[in-house]
Amino acid sequence: MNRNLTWRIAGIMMLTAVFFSMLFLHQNIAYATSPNQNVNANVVVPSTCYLSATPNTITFGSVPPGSNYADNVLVNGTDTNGNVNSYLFVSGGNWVATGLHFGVSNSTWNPTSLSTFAGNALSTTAANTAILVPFGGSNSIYFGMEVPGGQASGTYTQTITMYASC
Amino acid sequence: MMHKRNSKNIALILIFILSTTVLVAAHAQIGEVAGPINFNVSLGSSQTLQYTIVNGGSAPMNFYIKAAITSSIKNETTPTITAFPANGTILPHQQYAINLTVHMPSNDKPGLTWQGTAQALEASNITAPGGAVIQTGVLKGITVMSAKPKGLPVEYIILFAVVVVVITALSYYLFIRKRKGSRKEEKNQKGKKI
Repeated sequence: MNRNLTWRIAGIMMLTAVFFSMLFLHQNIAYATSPNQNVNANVVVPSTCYLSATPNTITFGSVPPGSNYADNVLVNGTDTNGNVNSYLFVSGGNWVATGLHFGVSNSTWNPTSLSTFAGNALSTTAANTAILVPFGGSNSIYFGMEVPGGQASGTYTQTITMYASC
Repeated sequence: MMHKRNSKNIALILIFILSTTVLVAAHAQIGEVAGPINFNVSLGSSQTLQYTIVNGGSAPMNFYIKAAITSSIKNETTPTITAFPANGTILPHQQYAINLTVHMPSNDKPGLTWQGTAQALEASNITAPGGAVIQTGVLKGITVMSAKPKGLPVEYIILFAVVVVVITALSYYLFIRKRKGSRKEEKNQKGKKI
């Protein structure tokens, strides 16, 4: 009799433990599947403009002293990531070769292609070309150059800098 | 055997094309946050404002900064401008804040305006013998205005004036009271003698 009672008590306790375990698990699952918690986040996206130039080198070939190259060498300024328009500024350095040089103003730029050497002289100070580079788009600028008369022969190089300004 | 060799060759070609594409596609693109930078600097002091540049490309970008006041005013000393850092590297799709500091000479007049520029240029090792290298950058217009030297705030001046008045009034009151007290004592002394 006592043995039966003991087993019954043990059985009831086990069932009770199972019941509460299931209740506990159910609550945890219910909590895990409860409605989404909202978190408010904010970010400020500023007006921004970018610039990349294509091509990044240009060649004028062989230009004898006292002759020139028309302002028809195209460089594209592109803004693929910006959200505001920008204006193109341009500046340059002197043409240099080993022990030789001639002035930056012998290079010229123009917003449109020209059939002659007649563009705006480049300088070491950045000049506003008034060429608009639209955000998500591109615009063109053309370069030409002239070799001064009597300039010594050599392989000269120049750096032209294009800026976006917004 | 032939089938295995062909598969291997195709795999090699595909890897070559993919690696070439990745190399070509990785590039840097310099950008700047829009809007002018306006300094209003008290005479004899400095002001620092931030100029934010961005790398919109997929490759790290080395840059350097050039900042200068480009205008001058007759008989006035041109303020100086410095940039910190003067160069660095921006990781892909990251922004970088440059501190621009303008120092205004103390002997200039207030209310004057100078113009300048801050330029961020992409450092490049591209060469083009017999041609021109195209370098890209961004350019920010800067305005610098001179302001009167900053004095004490008005609140402090008022507080100081109030304190002075209170101390003066208190001192006067104590002086008068002491004087009355000494006169009364003198009268009492005279009365006793009589």
